[in-house]
Amino acid sequence: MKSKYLVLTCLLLLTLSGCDIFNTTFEDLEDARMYEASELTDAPVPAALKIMTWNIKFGGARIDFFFDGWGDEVLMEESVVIENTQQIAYYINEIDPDIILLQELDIDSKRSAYVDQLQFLLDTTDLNYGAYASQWKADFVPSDGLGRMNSGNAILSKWEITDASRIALPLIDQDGLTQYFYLRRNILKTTIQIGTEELQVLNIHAAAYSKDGTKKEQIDIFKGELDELNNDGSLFVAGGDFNAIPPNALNTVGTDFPDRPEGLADDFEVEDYELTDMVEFYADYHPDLLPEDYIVYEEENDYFSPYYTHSIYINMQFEEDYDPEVDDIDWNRKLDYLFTNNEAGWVSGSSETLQGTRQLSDHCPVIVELEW
Amino acid sequence: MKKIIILIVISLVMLSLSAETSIWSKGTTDVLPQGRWEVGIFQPLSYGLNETTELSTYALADLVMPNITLKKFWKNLDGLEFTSKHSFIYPSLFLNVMAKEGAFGILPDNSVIPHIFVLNNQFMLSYKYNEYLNFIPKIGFSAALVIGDSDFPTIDMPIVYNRTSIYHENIMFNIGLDVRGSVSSKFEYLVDIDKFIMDKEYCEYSYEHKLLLIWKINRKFALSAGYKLSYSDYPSTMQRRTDFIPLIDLQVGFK
Repeated sequence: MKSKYLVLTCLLLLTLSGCDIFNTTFEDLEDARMYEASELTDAPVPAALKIMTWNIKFGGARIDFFFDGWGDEVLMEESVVIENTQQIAYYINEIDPDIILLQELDIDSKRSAYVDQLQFLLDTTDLNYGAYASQWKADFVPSDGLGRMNSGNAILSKWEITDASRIALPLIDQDGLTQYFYLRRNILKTTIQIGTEELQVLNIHAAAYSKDGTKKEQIDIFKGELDELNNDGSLFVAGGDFNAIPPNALNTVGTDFPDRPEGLADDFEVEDYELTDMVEFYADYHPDLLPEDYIVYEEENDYFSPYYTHSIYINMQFEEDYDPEVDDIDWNRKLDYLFTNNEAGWVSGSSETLQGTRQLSDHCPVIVELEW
Repeated sequence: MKKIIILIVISLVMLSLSAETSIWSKGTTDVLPQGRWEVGIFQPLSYGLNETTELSTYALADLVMPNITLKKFWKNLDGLEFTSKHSFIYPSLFLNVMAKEGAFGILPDNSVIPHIFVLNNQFMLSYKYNEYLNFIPKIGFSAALVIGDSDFPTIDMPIVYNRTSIYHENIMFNIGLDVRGSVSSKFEYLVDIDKFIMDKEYCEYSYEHKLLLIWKINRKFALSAGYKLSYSDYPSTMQRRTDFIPLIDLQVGFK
């Protein structure tokens, strides 16, 4: 009789031990994955650090993906991914930032032909060290032919990243099966040793399609992390893709603010943008762009601003035969930010929104300098 | 509920690809007694055609992946038993069903699936070390005939990847060893290790190891559980790792 219970216990343990069989989950707090360039480049400490944030859309550039609502592409050829990532590297080299916060970077995904884009960028730019935190990881996503997925946030630096952690953020309220395979947002928190000083650098990519207030919750947690560092007297640079608009934006939501064709699945409808989402960041810390500078252009240019960081094809929802090579791209909102608690703020006049990258991603980089 | 049913069916199909033998039969090289039926959640519906021949099919999977296996006991030479298994599978329907948008889209919606006819052949030799222990070396190959335009990606999952790679590269070889024994009249175990050798263009090899504990409750029911470890070459070097897959099954037998 005893042997029967022993066998049953063994059977149960064996079965339960493999619950997360697709490896999609994370602990609340985990070490981030560390990277290093194949060949290190000398990095003297400059008078001002150039910081960049950029959502690079996994090197997908302007390919019509199925999730865009009007395309059917799912998987890219390796040569396409390499070419697109190389273009991103060229641009980074042209700007020559000291620290970059990247979002939507793939390191081991079938959709991007398994190219490790973080290692690729380290090996093709002057950046030496990297830290990575997955926000979408699964050995196999059984949906839309996506297959293996490992995509997330990264911080790249010319100087050594001495500490890096992944802080889990709340999940969108979904049915269990969808949630198991869905994105798991996080904060990537790093410490970078620059000369004799330490700089805390934090990166976030908040939820885009939450309709249950999760995005705001995630943003508030990020703010809490910054407040904690600030109270400790630590100097930080923080930013990323907040999927939130500035507190004084005129362009908010509605028919003049479209992303997708009508009738697309509800799952991909964006949450209404709240002007309150970013208020506390602007109130307590220095943004890359002052609200008064931001608003001038929106008012004067009929809802166009050189400070918008997210774009769509103008004709994509109205023209069935639109051609991405020909049709224009419309920058339609600012979603990407950088903040610091440096007492003197950013270097005056150093902020730039680089909309010239329109063919490389649906987001453009934001750069700003920090006196060092 | 619909999603759960679909998931179960997919799991059945996927897991059925990994099964090698009917674990409740007397031994790996043995066939079912004439007239006996056996079926399991993850095991095929098997029937003892006569004392040397067994037919089996994954009945649920037949709806989307017609398949049939003939197992033949050939000879007993001084305790060495020789058996072979020959399977035919037509996976194109299944691949077409799985090429879809949304949940359970294993392949992209724009995939072009050709007609694929797979023939799998396994040859096994059983050496009975003593009353409680059998060693069964095996060798085999799978070949696929592909007809028509083909444009669909590999399915990069443990256990599935190596078996479905032949849809792209047409041939795969395997070699392995099963060790099967009993600890009492009610409890048996099966330990195996297999190596799959594939075309270098896609990947070179994969290894699998399985441990199953089998509780033969009575003549009608058997419960088995264990694990499978898979170490495989994939298109991505970062995927080269060991995967652990729990196995559990309930089998029912008749006659």
